[in-house]
Amino acid sequence: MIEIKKGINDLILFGLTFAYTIAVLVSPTWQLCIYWIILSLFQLVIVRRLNWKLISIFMLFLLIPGISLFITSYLHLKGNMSSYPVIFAGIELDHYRLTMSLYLAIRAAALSLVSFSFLTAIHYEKLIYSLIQNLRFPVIWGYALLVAFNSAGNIQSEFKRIQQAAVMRFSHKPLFYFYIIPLLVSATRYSQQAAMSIQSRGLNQDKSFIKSEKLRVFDLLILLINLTGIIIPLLYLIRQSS
Amino acid sequence: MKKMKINEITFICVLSIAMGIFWWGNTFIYDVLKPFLKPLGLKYLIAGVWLMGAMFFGYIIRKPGSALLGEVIPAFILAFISRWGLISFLSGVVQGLTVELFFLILRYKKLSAGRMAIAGSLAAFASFFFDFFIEKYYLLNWQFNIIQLMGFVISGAILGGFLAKFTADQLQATGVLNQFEITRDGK
Amino acid sequence: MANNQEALYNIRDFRFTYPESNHTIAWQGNHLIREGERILLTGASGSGKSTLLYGLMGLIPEILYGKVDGDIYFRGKSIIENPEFVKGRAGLILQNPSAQILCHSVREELAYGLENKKIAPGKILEEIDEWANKFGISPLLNQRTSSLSGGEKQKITLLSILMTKPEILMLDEPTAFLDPISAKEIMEIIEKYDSGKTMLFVEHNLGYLKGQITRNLDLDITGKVNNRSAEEIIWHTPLPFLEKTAKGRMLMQLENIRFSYPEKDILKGVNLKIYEAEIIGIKGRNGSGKSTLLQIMAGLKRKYGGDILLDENAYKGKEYKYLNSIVGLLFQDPENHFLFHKVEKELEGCDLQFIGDEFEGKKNQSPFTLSEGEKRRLSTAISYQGNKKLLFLDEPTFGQDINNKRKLISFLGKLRDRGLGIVIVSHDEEFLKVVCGSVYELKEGKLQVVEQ
Repeated sequence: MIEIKKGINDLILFGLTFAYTIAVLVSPTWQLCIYWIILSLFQLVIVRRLNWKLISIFMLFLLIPGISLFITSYLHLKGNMSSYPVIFAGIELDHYRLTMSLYLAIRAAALSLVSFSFLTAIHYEKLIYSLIQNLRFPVIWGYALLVAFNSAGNIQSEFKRIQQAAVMRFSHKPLFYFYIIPLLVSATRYSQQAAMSIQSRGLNQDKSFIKSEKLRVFDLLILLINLTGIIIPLLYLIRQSS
Repeated sequence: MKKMKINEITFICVLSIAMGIFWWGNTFIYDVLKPFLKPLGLKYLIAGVWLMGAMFFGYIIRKPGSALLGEVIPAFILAFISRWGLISFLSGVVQGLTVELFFLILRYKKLSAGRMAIAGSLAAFASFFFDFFIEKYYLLNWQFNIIQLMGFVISGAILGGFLAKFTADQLQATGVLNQFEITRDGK
Repeated sequence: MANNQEALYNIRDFRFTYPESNHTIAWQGNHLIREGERILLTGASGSGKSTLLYGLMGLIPEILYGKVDGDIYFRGKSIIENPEFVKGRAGLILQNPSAQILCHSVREELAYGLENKKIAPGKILEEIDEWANKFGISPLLNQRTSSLSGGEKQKITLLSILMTKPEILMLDEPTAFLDPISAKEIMEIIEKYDSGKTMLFVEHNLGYLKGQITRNLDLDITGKVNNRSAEEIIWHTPLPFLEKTAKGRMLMQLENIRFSYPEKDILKGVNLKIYEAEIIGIKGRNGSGKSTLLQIMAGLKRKYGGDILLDENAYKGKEYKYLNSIVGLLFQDPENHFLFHKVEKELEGCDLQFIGDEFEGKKNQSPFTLSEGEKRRLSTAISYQGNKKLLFLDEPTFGQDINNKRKLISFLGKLRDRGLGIVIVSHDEEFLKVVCGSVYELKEGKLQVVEQ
């Protein structure tokens, strides 16, 4: 294994999420979708070494929507003339509907897993710096986003305090509805102070960065390898099925 | 119509976090109700919430780009924390673009309740068409699709348009939005 | 005039009207700010001190929208018309430590100002190390900004601004949310920085600034400005003393309260007795566990060791709901208490006789539109809603000017005379001294008597 000092550029990771998502979207068979699922699991378990428990919980979360999608599709698919009945556990099922519903359900699962496997590897601040340094993303939006992500912890503490104040007042936790306006007020005030801080410290589109997130040959190589790893099997299979 | 200022931009970004979390919560409600609503074609009844961003921020900031980015940024955040991933981001782009175009035609002026509801319905329409191709609804029978579409449009108007306006109006009553266009525009 | 007395700023009859609320602030007359001066801005809350600072920074009308009359000149050029002229040449530090942090890591935060001036990355890193050594923050350099305390955040923000060597530094109550130790550290950085630089302070805690100031501009609500020399400044206005009265029966007793987080023990056996008609003060360093103790006493934290006895041994136990109902808890930020759209609705259930008619004219407004002092008093009234027997206050004097502190003192006196047992957690030593019958310090997980 080549020793890589820094991981893959987060912008490339984002781009790969996009590429793989499109790949799943154009995949015509459920077998191909299984291939994408296996690839994602490989990425999660082998490359990133996420623990099994986390992945299994996520898979479980996909199960119920998957089943509901399967059932809905089965019930509402348009019929197909060239289909034939299939006996499964004593029930007569339509072959076309069965395979098509299976395809849609597995495809949905593949979409989720593909996103999950890439997006969870991205760090928000690296992605933003990468966008600014490589794609000329406006710094004003970049830093506003950085500030926004920083504010998440603040919102959480505010929420806790508002809840505590309400419990002391009414002796029970009030409905979620009550928190909305106080939280939004707090968030608005925070955003205005942040804006003043960003602006008054002299934000410039043309600025230097102590942390470089510029794309390297390595990143572009990874992108190329992944694209050829996707395009080739896809083109082959699409050509095969037509 | 003017360009957005930095305090409007930070407003959108910081509140998008709250919006993104709210949408994430909504996905839980959706997942719980889905097994029952989906086979009936009614799963979209709660989907209007995810259109709220464009209308909420467009209504408050009233400048070009506020509706589009007000939807895209929370959708971007949602992509990272929900099980749909990138698809929610792409949906957000479609929804945001639709509302943005509509508001641009109106020149972002006089955003009444009726206009907000229309914006929500339009976004729902556009989003449904996006889903139509992404989720391959063309394989399903047309009656089912019509029910889904209707559910989405109604949800878009009410949970998207009306709810966005209502929340924004409440927020304005607290005096905290006095710096934004919502305060100056004809009501 | 000596050479370094060039006018940096010329403020000419500057007036600003906020939109919608139509609240107008005014600085009457012509005022010069010269290089090397260290000016203290004082005046009642809402008179327009912060607004002036925003104007001097070129943030009006760029960020702050409103009607501007008069003008502000920076080195001869109007910055109301040309805000870019002052960009990057003046520095401003605000109150809220968290909202000013932009980056993920401390190094990036420190680098922000210099990055904007397009300095080479290598040079920036060198400067960071140099400054970190000089001001003693080297251990913080590799940390994430999210793990910093309020005081540390303000230090980093301040250093980040100072590194850009602004021609003038403005400080808008930077110590408002900080404990005394952090506040002192901030002031030490300013002293160490360069005693010749021009500075503008807005501050209530005047104690930290003695010896730093060359001039004072005092603003009143009508816009009249009083120009005073350093000698004329009243550094300290004593707070009115609250007459102590006799205690009633015991309301609550804490017996050997213990509490720990996974990594460490916070409370190691706290004992306290709270009586009717008494005010107790608790002070302690940041992180000593004061807020945790208050939460346990209010029934909000459940997993503690030891016992809370109520009503003279009527029962022992962990009846949280009962605690919630007899205890009122007042947070540092009054807005945490507001849940309704109208002041009227918030006041429902409050003892109106008590509050008087302070909010008469504002019944139909949103509580968020009130002034700082009014918010504080409304939230105090809300926390006392429902006939509470005990009231706990967490840092009630943060960011309050002397008038509001006075009103708070008389309010607390009235509550005490009604038989309430009051506990105040505060850094404000003077406040505790004048108000409380006894003061304790939370040290090493236990309460020690400081004064009786």
